[in-house]
Amino acid sequence: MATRALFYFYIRRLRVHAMQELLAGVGIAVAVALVFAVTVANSSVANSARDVVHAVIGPADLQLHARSPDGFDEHLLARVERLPGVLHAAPLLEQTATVVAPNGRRATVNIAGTNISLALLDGLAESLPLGALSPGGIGLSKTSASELGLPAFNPQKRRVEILLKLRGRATAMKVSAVLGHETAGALAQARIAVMPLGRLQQLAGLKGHVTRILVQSKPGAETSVRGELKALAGGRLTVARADQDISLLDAALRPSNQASALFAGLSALLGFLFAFNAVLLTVPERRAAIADLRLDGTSRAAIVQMIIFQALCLGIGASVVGVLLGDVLSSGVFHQTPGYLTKAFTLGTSTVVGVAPVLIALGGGVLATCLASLFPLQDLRRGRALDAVLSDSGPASATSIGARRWLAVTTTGLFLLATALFVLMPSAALVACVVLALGTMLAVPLVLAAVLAAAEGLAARNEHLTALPLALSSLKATSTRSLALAATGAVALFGSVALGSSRDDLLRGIDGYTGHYAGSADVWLVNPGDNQAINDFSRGEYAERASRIAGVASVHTFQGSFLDFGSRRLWVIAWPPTIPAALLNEQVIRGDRASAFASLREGGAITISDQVASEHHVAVGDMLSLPTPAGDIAYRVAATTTNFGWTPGAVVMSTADYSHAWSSNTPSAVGVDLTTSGSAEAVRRAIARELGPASGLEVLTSTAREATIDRSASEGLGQLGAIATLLLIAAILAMAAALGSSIWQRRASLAELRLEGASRRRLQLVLLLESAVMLSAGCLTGAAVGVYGQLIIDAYLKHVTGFPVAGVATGKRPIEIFALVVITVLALVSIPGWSASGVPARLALDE
Amino acid sequence: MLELERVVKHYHEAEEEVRAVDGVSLKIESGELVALYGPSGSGKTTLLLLIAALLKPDEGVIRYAGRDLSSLSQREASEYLLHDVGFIFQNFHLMPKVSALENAARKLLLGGSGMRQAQARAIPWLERVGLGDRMRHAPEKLSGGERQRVAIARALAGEPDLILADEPTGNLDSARSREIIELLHTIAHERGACVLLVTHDEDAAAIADRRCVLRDGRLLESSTGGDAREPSASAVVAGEDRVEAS
Repeated sequence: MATRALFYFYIRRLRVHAMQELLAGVGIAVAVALVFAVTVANSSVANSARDVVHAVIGPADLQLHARSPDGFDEHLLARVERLPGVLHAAPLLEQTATVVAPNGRRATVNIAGTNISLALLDGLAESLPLGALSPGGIGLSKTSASELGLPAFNPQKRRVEILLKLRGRATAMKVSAVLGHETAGALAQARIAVMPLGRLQQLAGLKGHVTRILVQSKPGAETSVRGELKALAGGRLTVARADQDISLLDAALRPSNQASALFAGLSALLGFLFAFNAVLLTVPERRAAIADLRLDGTSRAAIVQMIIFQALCLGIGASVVGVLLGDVLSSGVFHQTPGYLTKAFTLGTSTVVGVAPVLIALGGGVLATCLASLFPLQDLRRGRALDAVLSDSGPASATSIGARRWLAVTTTGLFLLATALFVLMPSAALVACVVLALGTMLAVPLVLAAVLAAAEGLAARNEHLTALPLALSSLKATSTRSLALAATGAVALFGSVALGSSRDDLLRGIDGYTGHYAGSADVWLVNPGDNQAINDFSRGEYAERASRIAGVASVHTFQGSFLDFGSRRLWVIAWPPTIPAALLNEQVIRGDRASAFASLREGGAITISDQVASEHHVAVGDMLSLPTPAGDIAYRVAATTTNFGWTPGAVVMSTADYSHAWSSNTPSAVGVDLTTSGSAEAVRRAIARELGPASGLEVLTSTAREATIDRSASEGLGQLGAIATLLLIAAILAMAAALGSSIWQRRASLAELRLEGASRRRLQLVLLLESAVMLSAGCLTGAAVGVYGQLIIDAYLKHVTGFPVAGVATGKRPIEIFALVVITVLALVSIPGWSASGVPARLALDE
Repeated sequence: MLELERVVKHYHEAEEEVRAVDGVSLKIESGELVALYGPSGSGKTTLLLLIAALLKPDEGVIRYAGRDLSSLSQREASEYLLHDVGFIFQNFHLMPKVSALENAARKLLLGGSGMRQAQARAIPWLERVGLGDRMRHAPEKLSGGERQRVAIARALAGEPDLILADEPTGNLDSARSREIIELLHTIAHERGACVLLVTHDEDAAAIADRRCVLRDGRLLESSTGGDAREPSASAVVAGEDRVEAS
């Protein structure tokens, strides 16, 4: 068929069935938007961080990295520069600090102290404003400045003074530059600050120290330079690729990305159903059009060509709209940089859209449209040319006895398969959930049949329920469409209940751990926002000063930092042996909590996250060598634990072991126990007064600290919550649109009922009952199987990602979601229902 | 008894007045089957809509059982359709995948009957139209003639006194058509119902007690089996074509 003819027929179709095509397009667009937004959100953090890392390292290919936040002697730089294969080398001191603006707003930033050699290495020297590395000032990235609410200003004319809280010390500083994209490239999008190396060393109390040396080796000399750097490192520093942070971040994001991928997979499945369902609504008209064409003598090939062309037009048009809508969603609803990771990585805040999400969303949308559009082609089979004209039976029934038997067997098989996967391979949770979702869809006809049978029984026993039999008859008459709508509801509920409830279990698990952790002391002294206590104080006398306050019974020092171990940036928690290791409560996966703590106190032992232990093939009682600042030290594994909410994993050791390996006694947190008469709030205020504003420390009661840690820990799960919510909203809208248009299309049959004397109110009641029965059957199936899905996802999160997941507590959530979906959809479709019920009766005679 | 008196209904299309029904007068007695015969566009459907109280005449009066249908409120019109009128359509308008019995009981359910009561009342009518042994079958399993019989049973289950059949044999072969019209004829006589059969099938119309021809909105003649003729001078009153019931 000529292209012009194809366009002619499609335009003709659009003119006649504009509303149907529009509704189908909306359904597809919603589905594509959902898939696109989730996929972009999933990849955006890593992509933007990749841009930032490359902006920092420039052409450097190797790095010498400190294993301790205290860094190493900067004189090593000169030795590195003298190595034969080295082209350039640049020093870097990185610290995490809190900046407080004059308006009181605060932001946690990664401060980089460097000199002009980094700018030369990066190629930033030409664009970086001179003020950025001027003594006495601090240069803030545009993102940091806007987070602090600093207005756009010219540093030359007006200086803004901020307060920098770093390693237990607060210092007032002038903002010397705001680094926009034109001067700092991708760094402008990160929460960073820069200042001269010497100044940062002075402020951090790390005179003569750097944490990294970036190295650009001469072409072809990378291997030899790496060897020479290792010799210089002497087993106390890490030699790695310059962009190692990217792979470490990938590892850190993996668990939450795996969880997001699980959510995204279900979203895609649901999106496919939405699109399929939307196109299904146009099938009767397409079948009739095919019948007309065949009667006109059009060849089968030409009809196939036309159907595929029309599907492509609809699929591409709607998918493009969906991608645009998804882009808005991904930069609005989903746009959040996980704050808990900013302590360990320099992350970008921009939404980076790769090619893959666009292709996946567009391809999926077009494929779903084409597959659903192929349905009418069944009429091209020999002898079925006029089926659409002569048959009013619609597509094959899924409610016949034989079909139900097949469905029952297949559904049972799928549920058994999901169970087997759950038991034997918890890591295959995504597959198990997809299998469950398929099982859910196939179970819908069975549940709908059961609900119909029950409703028929109810109607038979209660003669006053006169509208119910009519609603049931209508449901049976439009079974394919009813099943498609009910299946959409089922998958939506399955996804929302399984994902939402698992997220709740995870939050409760994290809440349990933070409760035990923060409850280990009555009052805490920490660097602002340092929930993991990984930034130590530059001065160590704070503990002693706190111990002199009235009402204080005892003071304990805690230590901690990050440690790069293989592909993971582990969180090292050094626990004082003088207090019980409450943080291990409910977190031990293998081993015994009491004996583990005894081993920690004794020394030479650690607990480590279960997935890290598995990765290194060590069991409880085995020795594991960690790359500490003092060199590789072997520790006995006393127990394996969850990841304490830190996705790459955690190590717990005693402060004595930590002090030895990190060569430092300075605490990163101080815990204060009160006397029996002491009031936590009064003591907190007294300690804050004693330390004064110059300390730059936060003094918090255990309750306040628990709340801030909870807030931060749950940040990483915010995306999961957003996906679950969006899934629900999209499901509600898609179901309402499909149900609404389905009701609208039935105006002719409603007109027949009007012609038989049915009042408008009675028709509304029939439509309401019909929708309620159909939605209830679908949503009930989804909610019930969703609880099973929750079990599978919980097991996955606990055993595969290592998150501290609380036990399954279904609670009221499935019921709440069920009620929310059914009531909202019914409320939304009541509008087209009200309008359609007023159809003039004469429409029944207008054929 | 249904009585139409000088009924006029016109539409405006592109500033042009179309007289769809043009001064029609007609009486149908109880137990009588009247065939309204005419080509497409002759005004048959408009006349049907007027009798069903779905349209109000611009002029003239339509009375059913003494009531002026044009004065009915929307609610009264619904009640009239529900209790007094039975509709039979060319395309049957049956719900697919739903048994013949449920289809036949539909109107009673609309009227507020319970399921058991509705089915109990529908069963004798299905038996009456010869579907006693096929009432559990869905329309897809029935022939065209059987489907129309289900539609007839549905129209009659509420025991209406006025049956309006809009091309009920349009989708049937001649043998099935005859069968259906004879059935309607018998029922009209048995129940004393007024039956108005709208058709353009001459053979079907021939079975009726009386045959009226509608052309360009005007009722030309009524006869009892013979050919329709142009109206005689005596039938024309005050410039309108008027055909007295015989």
